[in-house]
Amino acid sequence: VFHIVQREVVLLVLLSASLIPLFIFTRSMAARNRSMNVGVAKAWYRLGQEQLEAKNTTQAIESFRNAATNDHDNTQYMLVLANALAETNHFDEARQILLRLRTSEPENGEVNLAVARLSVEDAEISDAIHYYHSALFGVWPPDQTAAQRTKVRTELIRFLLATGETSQALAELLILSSDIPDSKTAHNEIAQLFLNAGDSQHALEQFDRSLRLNGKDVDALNGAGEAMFNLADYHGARRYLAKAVANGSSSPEVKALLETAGFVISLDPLASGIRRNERIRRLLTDLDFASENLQSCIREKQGDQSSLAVLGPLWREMDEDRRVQLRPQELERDSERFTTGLSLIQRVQLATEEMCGRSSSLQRALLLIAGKHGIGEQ
Amino acid sequence: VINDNVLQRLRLREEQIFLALTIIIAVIAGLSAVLFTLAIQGTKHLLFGMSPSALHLLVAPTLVSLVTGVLLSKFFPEARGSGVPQTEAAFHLNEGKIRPVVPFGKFITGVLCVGSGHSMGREGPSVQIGAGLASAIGQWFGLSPSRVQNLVPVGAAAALAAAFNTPIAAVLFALEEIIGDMNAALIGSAVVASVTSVIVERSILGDEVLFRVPSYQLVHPAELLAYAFLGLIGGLISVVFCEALLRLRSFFLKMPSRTTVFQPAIGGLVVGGILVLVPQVMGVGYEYVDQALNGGMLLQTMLLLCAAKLAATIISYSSGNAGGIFAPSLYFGAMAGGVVGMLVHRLAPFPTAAPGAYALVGMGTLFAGIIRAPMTSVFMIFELTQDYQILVPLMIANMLSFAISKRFHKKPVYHALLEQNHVYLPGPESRSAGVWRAKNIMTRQADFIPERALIQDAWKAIAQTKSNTLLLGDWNHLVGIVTRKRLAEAVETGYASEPVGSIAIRQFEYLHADQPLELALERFGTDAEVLPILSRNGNRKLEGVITIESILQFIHKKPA
Repeated sequence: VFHIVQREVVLLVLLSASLIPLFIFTRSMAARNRSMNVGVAKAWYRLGQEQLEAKNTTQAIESFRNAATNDHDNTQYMLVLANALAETNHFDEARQILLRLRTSEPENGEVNLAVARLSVEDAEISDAIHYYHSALFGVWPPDQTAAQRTKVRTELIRFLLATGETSQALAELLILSSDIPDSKTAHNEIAQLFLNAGDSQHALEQFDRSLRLNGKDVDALNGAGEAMFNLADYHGARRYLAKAVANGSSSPEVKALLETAGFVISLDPLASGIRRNERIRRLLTDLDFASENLQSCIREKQGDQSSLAVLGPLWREMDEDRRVQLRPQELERDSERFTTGLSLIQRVQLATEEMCGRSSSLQRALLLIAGKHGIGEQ
Repeated sequence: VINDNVLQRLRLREEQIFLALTIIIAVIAGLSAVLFTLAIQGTKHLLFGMSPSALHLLVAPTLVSLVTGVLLSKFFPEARGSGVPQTEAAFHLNEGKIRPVVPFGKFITGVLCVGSGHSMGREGPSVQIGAGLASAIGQWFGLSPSRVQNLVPVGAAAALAAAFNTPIAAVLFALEEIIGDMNAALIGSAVVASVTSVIVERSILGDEVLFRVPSYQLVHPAELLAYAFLGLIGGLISVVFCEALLRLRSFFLKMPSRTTVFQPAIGGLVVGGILVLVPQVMGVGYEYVDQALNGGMLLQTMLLLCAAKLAATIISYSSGNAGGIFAPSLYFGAMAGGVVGMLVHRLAPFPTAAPGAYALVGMGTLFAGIIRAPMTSVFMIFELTQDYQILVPLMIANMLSFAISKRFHKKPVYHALLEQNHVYLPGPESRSAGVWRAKNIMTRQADFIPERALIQDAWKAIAQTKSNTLLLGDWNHLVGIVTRKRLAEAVETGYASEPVGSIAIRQFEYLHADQPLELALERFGTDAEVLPILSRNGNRKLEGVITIESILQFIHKKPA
C-alpha cells in the first residue's frame, strides 16, 4: 500500500480509524463515571433525608449539596437542596438554584411551587401569584396531578387571603370547590376557606355536604353554625352550634357564638310571632342592659373628660328617653318607639365598646339585634 | 494499473495534511482531556470515598506522592508542575518537539497527584497532554519543524477547550500564553481545533456546565469602584501567591538532588495536614467555587478557604507534584471576590449586586493577576456568564490586578518558573520580524580561563590576547567574566595568588541569540568589552559572544 499511496495518507486513515475505538472507550468511561456519580449522589441524598428527619438541616444541606454536585441533572436533589436552604433562611442561594431549575424546566410544577413559596417569603405578591399559577398549570407526576393541583390552589388561596386579595381568593375557591373530592376533610377545608373569605353562603353549602357524609362532625357543625350566624340566621346557628357542643365541641368561640345567638333570639323585641307585651318586656330588658353597661363605663372613665364628653350626653339621653318616650305606655301606643329604643341601644353599645373596649356576648347580641332590623343604616 | 498522474493528484500537500491533523489532534486532545477529568474523579472516589477519615486525608496524598515522586524524577521530569511553561518552552525553544512519552507521563502523574487530593488544577496538565500528543503525531508524520511547532498550540487550545468548556478562551489562551502573540497566523487552526474538541467533549459529557453561574447585573454605577477595589485586592493576592510559590520552589530546588524523589511526598504530607483541617481545598475544588458563586458561603468560610487553598497550592506545586495553577487561581478568585462582595454588600451606601457576582469577577481577576493572560480571563468569564454586562466591571478589575501583579513581578509566573530551571523564553522583541539579531553578530571566538585558576595566571593569559576580557568556565557553563582592569588592580594590590573567581563579575549583562541587534548595542560594554550570548535552554550555556571586532565585522559585511 505504501508503494501506491502516500505514507501520510495511510497514517491519516489509520489515525482516523483509531479515533473510533478511542471515542467509544471514552464514552464508556464517561458512562461508568456517570453511574458511579449517580450512585454516590443517591447515597448522599439518602443521608440528607435521614439528617433532615433528625432535624439536622445544616448537615442535610451539605449532603444534598454533595448529591446535587455528583448528579447535576437530578432536579429532585436540587429541589430538596433549595427547600432545605430556604428552611434555614439561605434565601439567596435557594433562589439562584430554583430560578436556574425553572430556566431549564419552566413547566415543572414542583419547581414553580418552590419558587412561589420563596416569593411569599420575599413578600413579592405578584411574583408569588404568577409562580403559583405556573405551578397550577405545570407538569406533575401523572398519578399526583389532581391532588397536587388541589394542594397548590389551596395554598394559593391561603396566601391570597393572608394578603387581603379576597376577590381573587374567592375566584380560586369557586374553581377549587368544583374540583374537590367528595370527602369530609375536603369539604370542611374548602368551607373554612370560604368562611375566611367572607362567603358564608358557599361555606354553609360545603359544611352541609360534609354533614351529609357525617352528621356528627364537630368541625362541620361548628363551621355551619358560624356560617348561619354570619348569615343572620340565629335559629339555624343555634341549632348547629348546640349540636356541636352536644357532640363534644369545647371551643370557647363556639360557646360564645351559641350564647350570642341565644341572646339575639331571646332579646329581639322586633322578632316575628311574639306578642306586644313580650316585645315591650324585651326592649325594656335591652335598655336595662345597655343602661347598666353605660353606667359601668362612665364609672370606669371618671376623670377622662374626652370620654365623658361622649358618654355623659348619652346617659342623659337614655335617662330622659326611658322616663318619657320609652315608657311601656308610650311603647304600647306607638310601635315606632321600638326603633328609637333600638337605635339608642345601638349608639350606647358602640360608644361603650369604643371607650371601654369590652364586648360580651350580650353586648354583641344587642348590636346584632339592631343590625338585624336595619337600625343605623337609616 | 493506476496512472502516475492520478496518483500524483491524490498526493496531499503538507498544508492539507496539517489541516487534517488539526482536526484529528483536536479530537484526540478533546478525548484525552475528558479521560483525564474522568480519571481524576475516579481516583479521588477510589482513594477517599464519600466521607474520608482524618488519617485517610493525611496519608493518601503522602503515599501517592511517594509513587509520583519516583515517576517524576526518574521517568517523566518534564511532567512536574503545570505543563503550560513546559509547553511554551517546547514551542519557543525546541521547535515544538516534545518527547512522546511526556503526555502519557503527565496523564498518569497528573491523575495521581490531583486525584490524591493535591490542591492543583487539571487544565495545565491537559494543555501539556494535548500539546504533547500534537507534537508526537506531528513528529510521527515527519512534518517539517515549523509544522510540528505549529501543532503545539493547536493541541493546547483543543485540550483546554475540552477541559474548561470555553472554546473562545481556549483559543485566546493558546495565542496569548503559549504563542505570546495575539496576531499569530495560527488563529484559524486554533479555532478549528477548539471548536472540534468542544463538540467531542459535549458529545460525551453532554451540556454539563462546570459552574452554575448566577445571572449577573450591575446594580449601581458606583459598584464599578467596588470592582476596582476587587482588582486591587486580586492584584495583591496574585503577588503574594506568585512570590510565595517561587520562593518555596526555589527552596525545594536548592535541596540536595537525592531528595528530589521525596519532595512531592513532603508536599503531600503538608497538604494532607491542611486537608485534615480544611478538606474543601482538596483537588480541583470547583464544587466550592460553584457554592461561592451562588452565595452559599459565609464570609469567614470564604476567607478561610482562600487562605488554605493558597497555602495548599503553593506547597503542592513547589514540592514538584504534577498539576496546574489555573483552577486554583479561579478558586482563590471566587473566594476573594465573594469576601469583597459580602463586605461591599454590607457596607456600601449604594445598592449592590449579590456577592456571587463579585465572586465571578474575582475569578477572572485572580486569573489575570496570576496567569497574566488578561484577554483570556475576560473572555473566559464572558463565556461562562454569556452576559455582556459583566465586561466593564471585569475589565476594570482584571486590568488593575494585571497592572499590580506586573508592577511587583516583572516576569509572569510561568516564565519565572521556567527561569528557575534555567530556561528563558523569548520576549516580544525576539519575535518581531525583519530585524537583525544577536546571532547575526556573535562569534564563537572567546578566551576562557578556569574558575580555580590564579589571578597571576589569568593576568599572563590576558597579556597574550588582544581582548580585555576573559570568560570564566567553558562553553557549557559560563561562571562569570573578568576584565583586564580588574586583574591589573588585583595584581597591583597583592592578590595575584588568589583564585580568579574571587574577582569575577558573576551577575553580568548577557543576551539570547534571538534578541535584536539594538538590545545588543544597548547592553554592550556595560560590564566588559565582551557580551555573552547564552542559550535559552540551559544553565548559562554559552552560544557565542559579541565583541567590538564582531560588531565591526558585521557592519562591514551587512548588506545595504
